[in-house]
Amino acid sequence: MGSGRQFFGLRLALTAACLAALALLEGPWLLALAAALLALNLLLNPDGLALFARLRFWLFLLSPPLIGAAVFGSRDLSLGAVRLSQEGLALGLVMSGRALCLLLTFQVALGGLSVTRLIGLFHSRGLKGLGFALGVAYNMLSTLGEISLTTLYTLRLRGAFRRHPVRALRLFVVTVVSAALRHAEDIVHAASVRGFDAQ
Amino acid sequence: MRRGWTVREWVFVGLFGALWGAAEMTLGSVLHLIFPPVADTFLVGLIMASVGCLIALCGRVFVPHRGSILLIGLITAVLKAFSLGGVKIGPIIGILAESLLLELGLLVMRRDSYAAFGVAGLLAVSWNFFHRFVMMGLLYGAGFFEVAARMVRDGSRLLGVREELIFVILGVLLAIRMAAGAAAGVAARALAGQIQRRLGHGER
Repeated sequence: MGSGRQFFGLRLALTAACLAALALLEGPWLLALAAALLALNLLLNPDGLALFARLRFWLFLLSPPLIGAAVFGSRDLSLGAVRLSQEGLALGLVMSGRALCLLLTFQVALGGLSVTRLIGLFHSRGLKGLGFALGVAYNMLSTLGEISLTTLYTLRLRGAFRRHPVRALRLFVVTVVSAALRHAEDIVHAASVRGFDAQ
Repeated sequence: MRRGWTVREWVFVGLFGALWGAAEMTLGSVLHLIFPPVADTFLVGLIMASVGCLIALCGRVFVPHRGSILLIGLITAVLKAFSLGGVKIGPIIGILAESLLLELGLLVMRRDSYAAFGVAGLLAVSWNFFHRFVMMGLLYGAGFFEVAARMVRDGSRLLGVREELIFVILGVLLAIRMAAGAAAGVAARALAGQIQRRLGHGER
């Protein structure tokens, strides 16, 4: 647990430092901060950089400079037949730099963290109930998937969604939640016989 | 705040957090694939906020303590953060804000009635309207509002409509979200009653 606390402490300190730098830096310095954060992510959380392979991410990152250059300020920059605004382009680049820094800071904060580690942290901080609830939630996901699929197939085989879609949807929700609550009662009994106390 | 909660209540908090998390991870992902990113702002956000509101408010009936929805939201946000596809700030902030507003709505109304659930739902789903503005402001900084204001001016001039019309459209979009939220809140109260009857708990 000691190394776990150091791990969280380091991540927390790095995140606070990154947010402070983000609040203080302006203009091109933001791009330098983004480069530093990228290096930090490569070191601490290389898997998190899968983000760069997503089309949606690039759409999110490139739209501010493109929109800024097209709509903001006077068109004083010629790129072939297209006339753009330098002021808008600069504004858009700063906006994208800031967004990229925030995303990478978030990756630094949460990258490498796992649900198990988080449950351990809650227990060590006296939030035993919350840690227990998180454990229950995490382990229940597969059970919920099974319950949902069984209910869905049963309703579909009876033609419920075709004849009464709204009623079938209501039945689906009621059945899934009821079945999940029955399963939850079993967990409560199992915890009780083991003498678990969430206080 | 959480002293005196039973094991059953903690398990139910975990269960409803898992239900909301599962909906976010499955239905949310499918909707994001079906609808293009531009349509996300309205349709996907509205559907997911209503579903989340429905599940969290049902959870409140089974864990009738102040703060239970906030904890359900916290667990959902953690599950979403560790789901496939990596960490995304937007949905996590959205889930936390919605659960906070649900809790606030029930705190103001102070009753386990249909009206209280309707108000809580209305508040929570209306966050969906402000979410994009808050997120864009947070991520892109003040520059976003400058560019957005300029786009509104240029757009209204280009289309030959008055700038005020943009605010009318925004007002209608907010009203639709509020109506959907109130409906989700009332539906949550009715569904929770049905679930209690099915389990043999009876209405409170």
